[in-house]
Amino acid sequence: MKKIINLIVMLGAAVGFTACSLDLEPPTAIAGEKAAQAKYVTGLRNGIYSNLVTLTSYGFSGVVSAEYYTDLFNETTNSGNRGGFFSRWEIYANDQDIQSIWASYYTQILQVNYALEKANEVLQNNPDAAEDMNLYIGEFHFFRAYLMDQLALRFCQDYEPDQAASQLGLPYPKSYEPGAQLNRGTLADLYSNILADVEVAETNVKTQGTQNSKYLTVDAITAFKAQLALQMHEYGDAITYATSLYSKYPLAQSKEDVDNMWKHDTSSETIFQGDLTKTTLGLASSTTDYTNGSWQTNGEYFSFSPSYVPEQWVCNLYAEEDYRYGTYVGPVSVRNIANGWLMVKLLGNEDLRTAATVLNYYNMPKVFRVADMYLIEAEAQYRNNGDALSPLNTLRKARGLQELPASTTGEELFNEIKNESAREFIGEGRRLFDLKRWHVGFTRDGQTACSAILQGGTATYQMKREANDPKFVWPVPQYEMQNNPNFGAQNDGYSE
Amino acid sequence: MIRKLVLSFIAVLGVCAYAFAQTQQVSGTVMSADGLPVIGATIMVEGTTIGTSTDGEGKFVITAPASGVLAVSCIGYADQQVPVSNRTAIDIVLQEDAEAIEDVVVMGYGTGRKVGTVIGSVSQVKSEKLQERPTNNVMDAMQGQVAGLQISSSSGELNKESTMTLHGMGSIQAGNEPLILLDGAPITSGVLMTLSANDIASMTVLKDASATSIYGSRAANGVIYVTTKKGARGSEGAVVTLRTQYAMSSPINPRMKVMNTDQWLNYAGAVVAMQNGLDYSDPANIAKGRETLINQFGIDPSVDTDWFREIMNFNAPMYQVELNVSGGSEKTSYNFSGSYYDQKGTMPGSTLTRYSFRSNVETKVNNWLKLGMNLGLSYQDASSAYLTPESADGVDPSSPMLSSLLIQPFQRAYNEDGTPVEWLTWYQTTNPIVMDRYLSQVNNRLQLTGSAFVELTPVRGLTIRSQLSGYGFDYRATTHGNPDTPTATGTLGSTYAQELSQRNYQYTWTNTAEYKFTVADDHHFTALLGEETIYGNSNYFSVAVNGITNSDLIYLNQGTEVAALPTYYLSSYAYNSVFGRIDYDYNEKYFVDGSVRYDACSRFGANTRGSVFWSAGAMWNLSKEDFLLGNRTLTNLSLKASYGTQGNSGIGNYDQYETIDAGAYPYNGATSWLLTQPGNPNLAWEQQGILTIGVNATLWNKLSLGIDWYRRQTTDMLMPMPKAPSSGVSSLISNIGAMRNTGVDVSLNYDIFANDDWYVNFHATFNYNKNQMTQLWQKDLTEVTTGTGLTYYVIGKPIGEFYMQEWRGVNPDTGEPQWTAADGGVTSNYDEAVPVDINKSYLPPYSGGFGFNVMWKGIGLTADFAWVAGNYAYNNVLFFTANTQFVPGLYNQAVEALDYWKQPGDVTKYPALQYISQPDSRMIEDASYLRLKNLQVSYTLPKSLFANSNFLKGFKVYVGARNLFTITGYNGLDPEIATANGAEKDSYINTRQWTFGCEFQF
Repeated sequence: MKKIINLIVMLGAAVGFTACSLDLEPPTAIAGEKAAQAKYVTGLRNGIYSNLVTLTSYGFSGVVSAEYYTDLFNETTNSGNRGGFFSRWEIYANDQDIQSIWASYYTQILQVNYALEKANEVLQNNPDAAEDMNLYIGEFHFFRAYLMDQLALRFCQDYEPDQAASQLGLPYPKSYEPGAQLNRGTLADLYSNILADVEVAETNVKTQGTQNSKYLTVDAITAFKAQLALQMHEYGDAITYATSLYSKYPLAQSKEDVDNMWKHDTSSETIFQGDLTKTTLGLASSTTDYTNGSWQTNGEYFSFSPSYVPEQWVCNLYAEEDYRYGTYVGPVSVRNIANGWLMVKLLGNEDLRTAATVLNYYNMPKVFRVADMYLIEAEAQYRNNGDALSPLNTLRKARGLQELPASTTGEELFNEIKNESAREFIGEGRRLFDLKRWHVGFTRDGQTACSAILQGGTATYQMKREANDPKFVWPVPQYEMQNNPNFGAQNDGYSE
Repeated sequence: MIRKLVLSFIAVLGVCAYAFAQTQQVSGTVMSADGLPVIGATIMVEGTTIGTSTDGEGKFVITAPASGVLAVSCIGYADQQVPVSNRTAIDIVLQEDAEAIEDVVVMGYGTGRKVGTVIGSVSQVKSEKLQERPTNNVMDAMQGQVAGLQISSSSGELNKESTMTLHGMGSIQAGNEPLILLDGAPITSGVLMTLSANDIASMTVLKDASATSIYGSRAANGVIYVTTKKGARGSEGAVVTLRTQYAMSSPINPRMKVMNTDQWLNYAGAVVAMQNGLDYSDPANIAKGRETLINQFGIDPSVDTDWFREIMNFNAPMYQVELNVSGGSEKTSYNFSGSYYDQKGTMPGSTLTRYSFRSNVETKVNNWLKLGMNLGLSYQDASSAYLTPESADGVDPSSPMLSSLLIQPFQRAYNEDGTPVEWLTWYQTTNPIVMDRYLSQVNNRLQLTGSAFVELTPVRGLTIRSQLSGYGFDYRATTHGNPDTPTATGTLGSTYAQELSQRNYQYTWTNTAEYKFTVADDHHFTALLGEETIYGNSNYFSVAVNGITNSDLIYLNQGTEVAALPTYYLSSYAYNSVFGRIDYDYNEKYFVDGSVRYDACSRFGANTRGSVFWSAGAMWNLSKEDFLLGNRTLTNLSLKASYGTQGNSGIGNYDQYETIDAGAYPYNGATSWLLTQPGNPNLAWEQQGILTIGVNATLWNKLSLGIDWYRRQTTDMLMPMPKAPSSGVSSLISNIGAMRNTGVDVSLNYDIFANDDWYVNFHATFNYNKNQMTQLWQKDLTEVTTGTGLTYYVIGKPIGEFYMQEWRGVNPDTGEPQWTAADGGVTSNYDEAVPVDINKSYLPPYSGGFGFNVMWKGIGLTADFAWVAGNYAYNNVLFFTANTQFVPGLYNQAVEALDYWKQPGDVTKYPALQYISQPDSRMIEDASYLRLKNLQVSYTLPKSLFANSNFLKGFKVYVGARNLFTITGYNGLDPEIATANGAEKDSYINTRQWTFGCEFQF
């Protein structure tokens, strides 16, 4: 009996020890209330730069989808319907890609607003970190503005100064508030918010510009201001901002220089580009759609099986003397197709490949580069009846082309500006925004050599779209409309 | 006292009336084989209604005819008949009975109880149902066996668990899987799956509040109590059983059929004619289209490949051998087993091999101390088919299933010389037949489950028990490609390898004290108090490299560069609980019970982590009432009712926290941090209340029928509340919404005929379950999208309510597709089509099973069917296989796509060829099905044959078939998988198997 009592006592004691602590915080993450420290805000800033690489990479669906939506490329029978709905303009408010593009930008804005909140807390509590925090706060404001502009370019009409007060805008989250239900407001509101954020960035960011900078600099802010000024028809400002960057970022002067910009991601022209290394490739989206090549050991060349091929008129833009011929677009070995041309600009940075003969299609996204500034100046000068030919010819010369004669004026000159934009920026996802800003439609023109593999019939590869087609603006995702009672109206041309 | 008086009075009367029958008073003690008194044993005089039960010291007194026979029974012991033979003092020794133990229901931590004496609604499935199935998954054998328990295999992949729900969907986010207890301690369905079916003695499903509330935490979806086999104490020598099984598996035949070369050329020829603006109803234009295709792509029309046949494995082998040794001495019982299982899947690349061992030992040290330990060890090697829904995100046209449908029939599978074609030029993939050579996805899992207990009985009736149980597994997965993988224009050249390692463990420490006592002979009480702690921990890391160029050795160390930083995480959770329970019955006629449990869980916020759950139940055993005693028609009748509450905590371990996490990718060499979740510090238990009212009846001792009605109300539902994505999040997990399941369970068991040679039995289960959303996150909100594009939450309707663009048929005059427009009319512009309530849900309101056993001498025939009805599934496969959009890409199509509109007046399923398919209600199909899960013929050699053998004691052979046939109207791939997932994009379809097995006993 004594034994029994002893055992019971022991068991009773054991019971007392069994209970576990229930305050289990995540061991491999930091709970939010501890995040307001300088080291974590610095980390959050790195995270924001990393995410920016994702959202600006050339394979990101927000970039490729915009590209397939235009007359630059035709879908081929190799596509497996990747991008097919965009290529065929079968985009509805319930489209999953549209929803995911929309959410990708806004999720990053939430990250920015969170980091902004934490940076401000550190600023209050830790004056020693003020210098860093002020810089970061400036950067965070800039990135919010940049992302909102990217959204506006896709989901809003082109900004018209005299109509902007009635054109539809987009929700502009200015604080960390997951679950907020914001109204879309007007396009005028949207742009004034962007400008306000840029102003904070200008005040706080003093980082001097260098070529190929991996971080935001004063020059990158100027380049963005030039883009905004052109979008807002502030042509004088656009010219001032654009031209101010010419001297520090000289144009390439040889085919080799142009090659290096894409094969090694270094160029005197690059104002700001997202950083990638072999171990961070997962950040960027890459696409095989334009090429998809394998090395042929007998013959030592790549053979391609593309899902999207440039249209005939695009191929015709690249003359043999153009440094971009063969680097951006040119004839290559296409499986089962004789004399096929492809866009080979995005075969990837050779330094980021594991094996020289295995393509991985990764490039560092060039968020701002100076060629854009020449095109901005040219277009602004043209709109202002100024000297548009000079900046255009400077760019042409730097790309190995003949200067255009002084007699090139009016519509002809504007056409050359338009062609130059397509030529220089193919694959970078901006033609859709150009078309909207220029108010021009298109008629597709399938590449003759590739006609056997073009997808979707003539209805797709000879598609015609009028300039005033409301579907140049993508729909607001149905999911947003359904879960945000304050949102406002759907874009024209789409059902709720 | 009064009772004694009455009894004496009756006895006196008895003596008077039947003096010649020579009744006498008999007293004695009932003891177990090891000399302990057996409390509560029932002693009846055979052929009469006279009976009593033993007291706390095992003693009894009964009046019986001198020539009568006493029938003694007690749970856990073999029944015994003892002739009185003029004795007045009889001591009875009961033998423990391994078989009898299985009739015991383990209810809420206490010692076992006889099935008929529990208020809770329980169903039990025994080992015979489980062990002879040719499946690695014991849950598959449970299908259709328990009313209200729906089990569907969501994939034919060998290492994939089934989905289980009891009484409908009770939760949206927090999980619907019942709590699974292995010998009393919680495990996951993955752990259950890695056990050998041969080691399981029984699986008991606890359904109502009376049975489950004591498990408070996590019992909201019911409880499945798995008991492993034990040896019998005091048995004569060991029983050795050797069982072997061989099976051949083939994929079931999907109803969806694809075109042959000629059909496809006619179809695609018409599409080409349409694209060129020609009238495609004119055969001449179709012929022109055919020629165009044949010439343009170099098609050989004489090739006609059945790709389903080529890609899938038919008659894939399965082999299993199990050895079991069971026995015991007076003090100790044991059960040892070992088994080997090897199976090849029906898709290329999928295999599974498993070794399992188990040792269950229990010993009585002395009169008051009992010790025991159960240990199970299994090792499993598996390889997954590539690009199945399990292994790939989203739909990939090169998955084996989709490619078996979509690869062109004019594509050859093999070259002239008999070697497989490596690259399919039209389909743009590596030939799926050889793909398993180029992509390897293997994993292994070493798992230990164990429990040890100390049980004290210091005072009669008091049992104090402390049990420590745990499971742990180590999981490794290796995935790699192959540099020789064919591509369109050569080979890949360089590849990657990835290693993943995961180690999980969980322990449960349970301490209970149970006291059974009887007041005034007929008032039986059982009281239980207990305390429990559960702690679980998981760690995980994975690393990948790139740059492997040598196809001879494809391992992590062959890479030239890391692909990304390794991923690493740790995670843990804990529960602390105290609980109590009390049961009372009067003379086994009136039963009442109640339980209370307090649970606290680390997953919830500091202020919301604790919750109290309780239950109350009552049962009336009418057959013990005078008016039914001895009734030969209605041999058993009981009524019961219970109500109780349970909780659900099936969310992420750290969902309450706003967290930042180091990202996988540094920026410019510096660590980046990301906000990974906004968190919700107010997260609390999902709550549930179940009301159950039931009746059990047995007629002629042959036909038993159980009917339960239940209402299951879930509140404070843990679910992701949809948010405007412009705020940066698409949903936030919160305690919102409410849902109700109302339904009826019916179980029927009919021993139609039994004599020395024959035994005929029929059994059936039926469940009707009505699921309804009863509240959303705003009061006035009556319907809202779930964000899938397929379903909405609608108040009063089931979750899984299809709500999308409604297909209104093809306009016979124009061939245009038609959908419901905003004004309720029709539109042919998909942009103007609006989502509407289709009034169909993917939850099956009706489900059940039925089967029969027929035995004649040693020959047995068993069949078990399972069915569901009234449910719908979104047959997304049709979007790929019946859509002109994919014809220019030369994809093969389903035969039903040939039913397209050609000229005015045609009534067709598909519109004119220029209209591509859109996601709409046309693809919602009735997914009801009836499946013959199991059919088996066995022959057991008569025992008499072995009477003189010292070696062999029994022998049995059997032939069985699993999933032999399916009756369904569903046009997709597999209605069972469609039912499990609600939509079917791509499946690893279930298998049909033939099994041959034999069993030896030594």
